[in-house]
Amino acid sequence: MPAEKRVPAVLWWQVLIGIWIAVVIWAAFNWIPQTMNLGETSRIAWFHIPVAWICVLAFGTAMVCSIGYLRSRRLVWDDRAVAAAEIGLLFAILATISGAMWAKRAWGVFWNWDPRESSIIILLLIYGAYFALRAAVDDPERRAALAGVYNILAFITVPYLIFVVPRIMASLHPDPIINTGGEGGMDANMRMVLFAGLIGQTMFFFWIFNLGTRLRRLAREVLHE
Amino acid sequence: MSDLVYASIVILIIWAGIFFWVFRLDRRLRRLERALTARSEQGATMADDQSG
Amino acid sequence: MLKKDLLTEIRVAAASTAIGMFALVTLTVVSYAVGSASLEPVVEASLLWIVLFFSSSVGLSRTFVKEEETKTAVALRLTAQPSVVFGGKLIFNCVLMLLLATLLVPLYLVFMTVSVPSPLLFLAVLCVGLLGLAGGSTIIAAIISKARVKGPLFGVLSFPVLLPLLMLLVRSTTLVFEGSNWSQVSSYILGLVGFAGAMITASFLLFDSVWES
Repeated sequence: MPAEKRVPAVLWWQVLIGIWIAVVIWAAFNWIPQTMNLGETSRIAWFHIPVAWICVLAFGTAMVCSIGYLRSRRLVWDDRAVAAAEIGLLFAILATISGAMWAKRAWGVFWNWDPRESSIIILLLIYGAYFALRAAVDDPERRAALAGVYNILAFITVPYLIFVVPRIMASLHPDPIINTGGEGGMDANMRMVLFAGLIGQTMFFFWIFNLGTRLRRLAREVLHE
Repeated sequence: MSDLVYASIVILIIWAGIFFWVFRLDRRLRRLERALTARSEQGATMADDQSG
Repeated sequence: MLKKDLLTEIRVAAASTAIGMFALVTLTVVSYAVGSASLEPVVEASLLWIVLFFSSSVGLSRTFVKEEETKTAVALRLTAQPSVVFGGKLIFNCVLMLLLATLLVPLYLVFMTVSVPSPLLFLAVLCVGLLGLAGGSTIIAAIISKARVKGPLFGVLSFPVLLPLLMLLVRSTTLVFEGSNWSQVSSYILGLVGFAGAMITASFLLFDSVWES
């Protein structure tokens, strides 16, 4: 009988992530002052901006994993791609909701169809379509290949949505969101908390990405025993 | 002042919930993975016995 | 490859007429619904591209389905290089788009009483837009030819990915209808060319994987 290895209770980086994000949350509420004359609700920016960044990171990871599958033809890459796409979609939804909440407070309406908002909706549609495609193919290898190709195509639109569309459409509708998307009126402390939030959420992303991959891989391998 | 503190505590509780849910998932996965590798090791040794 | 497709398409004239009829019907509906009301340029631009997009999807989704269904795909895979196959399909689709536009756009301009101050600019935007449309749609058509439930899936997959293109097209066409000059629209055209180029390049690189799956 092989010796039963004990599962370690807690890993150090899990604790790190938990505490890090808790500190960021506390700081975002209680440490940095009220910002930009937009009221306390503007603090949602410290959630919304990292979330949007993670969304893009996730979809980028999905693309890389899709390339990985197409090159190696090992299904574990497909597991990774799906896990990343799911997280991307989740964070896109979070970004849309938090963005709408912020917009309501700052500009009075939930929705504006300004470049950033339009981009996130398009992303939702594109990656929703990804899952529709997966549902329409039965063979695992073929599904992984087709979905992988789509993933790569889908991510090509992302630089467009993030950089080109706002720049081009701004010439018609100069929009505060484009400025506040970056630094508009932040002091050093605010930037630090924002940056910390970015790092914290990125770490969290890699954690749940890893979990998602392992979950998928287990399910696939167990079902095929 | 207390409004913000109150709000941050609510969010912190939500975060704690999310964190521990993810943590529990991780731990379950690791247990499953250990169990599966242990099982396949056992299966391998049994196969050795049979073919030996 | 291209010749073969053109000949096949001429023989199966029904397919082309389907796109044409769909486009005409849609145009009739839109024109009727609008009636004699005068529209703002942005609405004129939007409607034009909506009609073009939806009409194109009728025809473009079929790009590869024929081969898969008649099993000639297997023969093609053995004899031809994937990039040649894709290139032929792409060119065919571009031609199809241009034919569609030649039919539809003049009619649209007439029925919707749209004035086009600078026709050359309009033509430029049109051509680049149609190219991007064909470029993105062809690879998607290849993908769905391997899936179940092909029809609706084509729209589901292609429209979101082409939305950035559509948005740029509507904006730039609006500018054209409003009478802007070249310098104002040039950045849009660059953006459109970039998008179309990126899509087509990626499609060529990725087509192998789809074709062989």
